[in-house]
This record gives sequence, structure tokens and C-alpha cells, in this order.
Amino acid sequence: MKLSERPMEITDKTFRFDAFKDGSVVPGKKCGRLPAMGWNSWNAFGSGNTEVLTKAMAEKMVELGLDKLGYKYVVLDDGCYKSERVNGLLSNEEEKFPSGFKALADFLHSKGLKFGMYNDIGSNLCAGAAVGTCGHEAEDAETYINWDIDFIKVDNCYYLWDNATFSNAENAKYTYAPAIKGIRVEGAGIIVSLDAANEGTLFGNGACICEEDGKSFVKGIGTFDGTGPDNTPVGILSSELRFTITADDECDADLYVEYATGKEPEVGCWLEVATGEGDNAKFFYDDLLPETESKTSFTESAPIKIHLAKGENILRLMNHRRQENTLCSYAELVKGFEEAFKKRPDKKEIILSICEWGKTQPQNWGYKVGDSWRILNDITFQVGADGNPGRGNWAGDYTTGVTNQYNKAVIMDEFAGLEKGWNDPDMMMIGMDGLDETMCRSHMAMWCMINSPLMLGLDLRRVEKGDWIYNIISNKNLIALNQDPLGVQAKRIYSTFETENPDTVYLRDNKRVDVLAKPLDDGSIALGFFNLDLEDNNEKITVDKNHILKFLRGKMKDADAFENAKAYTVTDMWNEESFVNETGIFEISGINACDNTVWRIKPQ
Amino acid sequence: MSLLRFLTLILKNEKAIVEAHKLGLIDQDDTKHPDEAVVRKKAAKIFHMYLLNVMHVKDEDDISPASIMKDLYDCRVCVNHIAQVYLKGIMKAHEYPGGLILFDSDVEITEAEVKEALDNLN
Repeated sequence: MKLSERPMEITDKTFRFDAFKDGSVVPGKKCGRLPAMGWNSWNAFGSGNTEVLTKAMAEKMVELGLDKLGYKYVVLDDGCYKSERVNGLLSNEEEKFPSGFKALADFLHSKGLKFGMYNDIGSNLCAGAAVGTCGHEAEDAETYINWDIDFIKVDNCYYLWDNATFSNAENAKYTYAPAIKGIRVEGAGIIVSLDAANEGTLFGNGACICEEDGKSFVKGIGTFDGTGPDNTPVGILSSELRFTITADDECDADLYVEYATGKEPEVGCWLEVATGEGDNAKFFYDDLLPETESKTSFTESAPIKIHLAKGENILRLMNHRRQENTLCSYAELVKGFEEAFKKRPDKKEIILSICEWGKTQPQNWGYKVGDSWRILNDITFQVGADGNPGRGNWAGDYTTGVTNQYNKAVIMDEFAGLEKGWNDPDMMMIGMDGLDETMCRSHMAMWCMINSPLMLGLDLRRVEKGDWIYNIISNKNLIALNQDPLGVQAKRIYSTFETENPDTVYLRDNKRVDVLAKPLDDGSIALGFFNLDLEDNNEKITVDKNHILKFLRGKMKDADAFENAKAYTVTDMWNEESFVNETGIFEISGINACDNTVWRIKPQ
Repeated sequence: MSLLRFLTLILKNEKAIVEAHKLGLIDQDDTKHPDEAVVRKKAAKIFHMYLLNVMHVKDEDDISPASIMKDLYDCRVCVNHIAQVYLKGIMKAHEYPGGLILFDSDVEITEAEVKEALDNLN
């Protein structure tokens, strides 16, 4: 199949930026699923995973009883396919996976486990194999159904319609609007020229007014790249240039845009023009503009036909294609699965793990198509191999580290839920070198509290029942928090670093203790204290029931019962010791470096 | 430089492709493309695997100093390969005016760079 030469035309409003908050999902997206649990090959073996290793992991999962605790999915990550398609179809790398994937699926299913695979919405997989789903969604979905997979993680490398990892850097032309100097609108009774810098309004974040070569103009009209850790995930992460146009009567008009194009972040070629917002948005242009000589050589566009209502019109010049293109690509794969399911009525669902690394702010749109969405680039780049456990960090460079991922995920609770899906701060690093037992305990407790998918990422042959790694990954109390049927991600209700808006402020300085609260289905709450610092904290940290209710009241099963309880049974999730609290004031006196305390608090 | 030429320089073996595959320096699919040009990220992977599998040299634990190369994290699957060969002084970064330091992952490796890396390796 020939790859498309341009981003998909958007005819369904579901895929528009304006519909990101409307709750609508694509056919085939199932709601109500709890975070997936299992093992993924990447952190353990990188591209070196094999059939022999995968089977060994599956057998160990069963031997350790991890399957009984909820760890069901065995997911093959990158490095398992032939480097090119065979007769247009995906096929197994014969040396690593000699029996093929259907046989492996049968093996895993015979063990009571579920089978997960990996692909990409681009032309190639991240490790290079030219077998991405782009343009092959229908046949690949059918192949996967025939292989009996239950889960798929889908990456974003070599993507054609954004400057994603390994993509052509000039693809930024699709995801940023041109620089805009001004507009002219001509219609019945209207002739107006407006200057972007002085008479336009910048909506959202990211766009800015610039002056170069004596010209003032607006650039940066697009969506923030969220792959790295620098930007908060909360708030409006894209931008528009807006003008107010007043019309005496409803009329058609011609819009002329004075613009200059580039092919780099902040200055692209693709422009969307609309009036109105949400359901009332009307689109008049959604395409590339002809390229200009340079990114500061402005020219006037051909007329764009628009329609104005009587009175004030908000004219929006924008480019939300970074998010819209990526959503459309994932949706195309979901559509492929829906078609393939029709031929296999016995096969009903596949979990979709979106892995575009937070680049396009998937917390805004991921729920429409997927079950979870990665929020950042990888948690470690020092993955293991057979005989090498790989290495992780507590607090590393860039996105690498338990706390690097946690710091972003912990303020993303409002994006997650049973009717949406889950923020994914990546596979766990428990059992890799570089993290001690205390750090791994907190890693597990964090991922459980924030309702992350729980994907083990270690060579399970290194684990024996009763050892410290086993005791962490098999902690039933914490897993129960992650899998609690109420399905609410914990909210940060207090931090020693920030007291005003602990639930939404993006904190990256780890010299602090966070307090997280998570409502549970039986009317209890889980309360977690996390010391992010590499040094002990000796402060007394207190939260009372009123403070908890201030943040959680609307999310709790029975807030009144919690508020009016005469006493609370407080159970430690690690040692299972309980005590009765009659004050409604919950307090710790000091917490060791990188350590945590997690309580389940049940009103009596 | 082709993969075959690159591996021949490293392994000094006429059957370098087969040997490299046996040693775990390249994947099975690489063996089908001996004429493919070797870009620097591919070279980094092969040198790193040579360090691990042939010379049995342990990885550097802390790769964060390699982030001086502004494009280190652009290649998600080869970050560690690049970081290790850079930190061990096997392959150098490219320096540009204004202090910009890049690994230039997708640039084809030159004969001179390979010879310099081999000197550093030995």
C-alpha cells in the first residue's frame, strides 16, 4: 500500500480539538477498564527479547503466582518482527521467535495469561523495522486478531505528520501554523484589515508576538511538545490567534492572511481557520498554505471563503493538527480492529496502550481511543539484556527516573478515570540496578496510588517468592488500591513545597514530601506520604479529614460517612498493622529518604 | 561506509557479517543488508555491543554527562549505545560554532572516524 502523502482530512468532529472535552469516544473504545497489569519485555531485554525468554517470563509469572495477583499481560515490545513486511504483512523475526506469534499466543493463553504486542503509528518501529501500521491499519489489525493478541502498545516513531522521534524534522510544517502578520476580511459591507501583533488576541499558551527585520508578527501557533519534562501537563497547551470581526448582517466574506511559512517548531505551513467554538465551530480552511521564500518573507494568501454571522464573530487562526493527526492515526488502528472483530466474533477486545510519550498532550484526547497514554519519554534508556538487569534512577536526567515520571503524573489525576483511561508513567523499574529496596517500595506505591498501568520490567528469573522484589511487586494491599473498582487516581492534597495548589502545580524540586489521597470503593480512602528527597525528612506532617474532603468530596463514595465518622481504622499497606484514630487528624513524624507510608483509612 | 566494510575493519575477518551476528553485534536482519551505509548511531550500537560482548567491558552507570550532546535523547532506542561509546571515549561528538555539541546520529560515519574509534577501542 502506498503511504498517504498528506495528513488525513478530518470530517468527523470527534477528532477536532474542540471535541476533546466532550467525552465522545470512537466506536470500539471500551470504558470501565482498570489499569492493565503484566510484564513488558523492554526494560528487561530491550530489542533482545526472544521466544525462549518470553516463555521463561510467563512460566515464572505463573510459578510466582503473579498471575493470580492480576499480572496477566505478557507484552512483546520492539525487536520482534522481521525488518520488512512479507507480502505486505507483518511477520516474526525467525531467529528470535521461531515458532511465530500465534504459537506464542497459544502458549501464553494455555497458561491463563494474555498476549500483548507492539507496533507504531509511523512507517517504522522505533528500533527501525519498516513495519509501522501507517497505511496498513486494516491488514495489521486483522493479522493481530489472527495471532490472538489481547493488548497492543503503539509507539509514535517515524510518524509522517509530526516531527516525532526519527521523523523528518521538517514535518513540523504540519503541526505549526505559519507566522502571521495580519489579516484582511472583505465581504458585503465589510472591509477590515487587522494587525496580528496589535489587534489579534493570543488564546492559550505557546504563541508569541515577535519582531524580526522590523516586522511584528505572531508565531508559535500550535501545541507544546510534551515529550520532555519541561512543561506542565495542566492547562491549555496549545495556542490560537483570534480576531473579533463584527458584521452588520450574516454574510460570506473573503479572508486574506498575511503569512510566512517555515518547517520547524513555531513556524510551520498548516493553517486551520474557523469561527465559533465547540459544537458551533465552523471550519473554512484546514490545509497547507503555499510555502514562502523564508520564515520572515510575508505574503498574502489567496482568498479563503468564510461565513460571518450577524454581530461579533470570533475568527480563529490555529493549528491543532499535532493532536488531531495523532488521534486520527490511533483511531484508524482502532477502526481496523473493529472491522477485524467482525470476522472473529469470538474475539471482542484489545487493550490499546498509547505510547506517543506525551508529545501531543494525549491527556486531552487519549481517552477517545485508548486505555492508557504514556506521559513522557522513557523512564530509563539503560535497558537490560539477558544477564544484565539494566539500570534505573530515582531522579535522573531528562525523563529518566522514578520521580521524573511521578512529578508529572501526580498532577494529572483529572485526566484519568474509568470512563477515560489512565496516565502511564511507563513500565516499572523495580529490580533493575540503581534503585534500592526503599526506592522500589515507593516506586510501587506511587504507581499504585496514581492508577498507572502496572507493567513489570525486570527479568523475573531473578525473583523468588519471599525475596524483597517479590514482596514489593506482590503487595496485595497496594495492588488493591491500583485496581480499586471506583477507579479514581490519587490526588496530591499537600506538599511540603507548595501549599496553595498542590493538586495542579508542577513541582520538579525533589526536596519535599507529598501527601496523596485516593478515594476507594468501600468508602475508605488511601493516604500516602512520599519523601522524594535523597535525605530523611524529620518534619511532622499532618492532614486532617477536612483537608482531605476539600479535595476529594466530590469523588468519594460516601463523603458524609467519612466526615461524620467517630473513628477511623487506619491500616498500613506494607506491614498490615492497624490502629484506631479518633481525631480525624492523620500525622507522620518524619519519613526516611525516598521512603513512603501508605495507609488505608476506613471510617467506623 | 558499508556495513560490511565497517565490520571488516573492526573484526579483521573476511566473513565479518557472519562473525558479527554470532557475536551479537548486529541483528539477523542486518546480515541481509551488507551494503547499507552505517550511520553514527548504528556504529555506536556495534561498538557498544563489541565492548560488552567481546571485550566484556562493563557499562558506565551514570550516563547523564553524555547529555552534553543536545541530540542524545532524540534516538530513543540508541541513547545508551551512544552514551556509552561517548563516555568511554570511543566515539566523539561533533562540535559546532556557538558551543552546540551533537552526536549526529543519522550522519554516515567516515573512514577516519572508524579508524579513530578503533584506536580508542584498543
